[in-house]
Amino acid sequence: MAPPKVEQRTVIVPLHPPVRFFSPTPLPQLQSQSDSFAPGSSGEVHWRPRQHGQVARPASSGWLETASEMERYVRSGESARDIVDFGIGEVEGGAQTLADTVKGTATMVRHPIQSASKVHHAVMNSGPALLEFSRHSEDIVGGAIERKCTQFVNASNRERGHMTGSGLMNVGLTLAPMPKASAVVSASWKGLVRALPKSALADRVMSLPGKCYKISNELGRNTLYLRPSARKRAMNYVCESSSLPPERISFTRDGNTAYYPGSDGLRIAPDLLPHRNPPVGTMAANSRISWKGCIAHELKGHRRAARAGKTHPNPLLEEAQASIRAARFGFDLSMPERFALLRDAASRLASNGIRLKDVKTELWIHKP
Amino acid sequence: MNRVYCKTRKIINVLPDTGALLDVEYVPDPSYTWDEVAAFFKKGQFILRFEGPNGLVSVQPVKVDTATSLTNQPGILVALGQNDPKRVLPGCQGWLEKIDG
Repeated sequence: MAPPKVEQRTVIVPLHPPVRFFSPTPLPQLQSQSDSFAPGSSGEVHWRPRQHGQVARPASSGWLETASEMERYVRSGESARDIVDFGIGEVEGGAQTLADTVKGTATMVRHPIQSASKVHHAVMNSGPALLEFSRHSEDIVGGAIERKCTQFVNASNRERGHMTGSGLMNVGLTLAPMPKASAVVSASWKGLVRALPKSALADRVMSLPGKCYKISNELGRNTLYLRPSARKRAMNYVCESSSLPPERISFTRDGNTAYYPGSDGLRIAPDLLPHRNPPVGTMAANSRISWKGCIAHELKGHRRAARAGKTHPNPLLEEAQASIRAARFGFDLSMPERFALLRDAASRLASNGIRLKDVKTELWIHKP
Repeated sequence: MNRVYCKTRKIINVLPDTGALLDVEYVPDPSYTWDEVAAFFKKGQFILRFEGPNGLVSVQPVKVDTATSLTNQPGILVALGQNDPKRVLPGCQGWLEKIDG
């Protein structure tokens, strides 16, 4: 009996959609002839998604149509080299971006005015593009992430390791000469502060979105121990400006400066003095109130109201009332000191969504 | 609210009408706001209890005076009245509670 005839068949499985391999050093004809890549004016290559119905390119130009072509491509070792080259190219691009960022930051630190001007012009010029990006940001970012992720997933373990290792090495080499990021930011900020006039800086800080300006409100006041000269000045000012007996004044290293109505005593702590380097802006008014303003807030504000029975039941309005009273009736205060107190009152209310003119009638601020 | 936790600091002044004024550090309780604590201390007399080296020490009656600073920080002063200020040790964990409930 004759053995059964074995029929050999070659099965060609078409791949749909065709597989496309990217390469950092693509074939010359790919750049020049491809309808998927459009060279820009500066020789840059921009990727465009392939339109439905377009004819697939032959394998020689980078497209693999069949499983056999794919198998040959993989067996020949070209695929591994292409993927590795692609990975290295991507990582090098990322490292270059980081290097440019470091260079740009250094330029900002050295030339803050020119940099600020450049940034301003760049933002103005990129307005339409930013608008477009904001409309389709999800699609653009999502597509980019998906493409990168797919490329990484499709690579073999060896290539993935190569990509990751090269990337980390390049990032390390880029960041090695760079000081701490916080130092760079701090230096940039100090450069801006030195270069710009205070009013311009205040405008810029206040125009920042979000909670940037809130930082200044948390600066607080002085925390260092009061010197004897400061104590003496404070004592003299209290005696000149109010009827509070000197024995009811106590100085402490801890705690805060405050008037205690129960014992009719004034406690003076290191926060009598303003912050050493107070920022500009209305929200930082509390940090700028002078030592005389602080005492006036406690005595002309809280003490006078307490003795007249006009302490406001709402603690927020009581504090605002004390600041306004100090600004109006404070003894021997300069105009900037009075303005700082008024701004403190306004910012206290504003931070709670209250306008001064809405609560003006509730406050005891018309009689000294 | 039954009690307010605090930490003793030191005597900052002695006045004829209030006796010694003890500065205490307010230990915040997330269950209550500072405004509620200040309202709690508005009226009445209180007991100061703290854990000394030889056990629990009670000082009563005392009056409690609260204030808020320019920077919105809470402050508590305890007027010891006729009590001996030497009984109070600085740096002890304790609490203040109302005498009449």
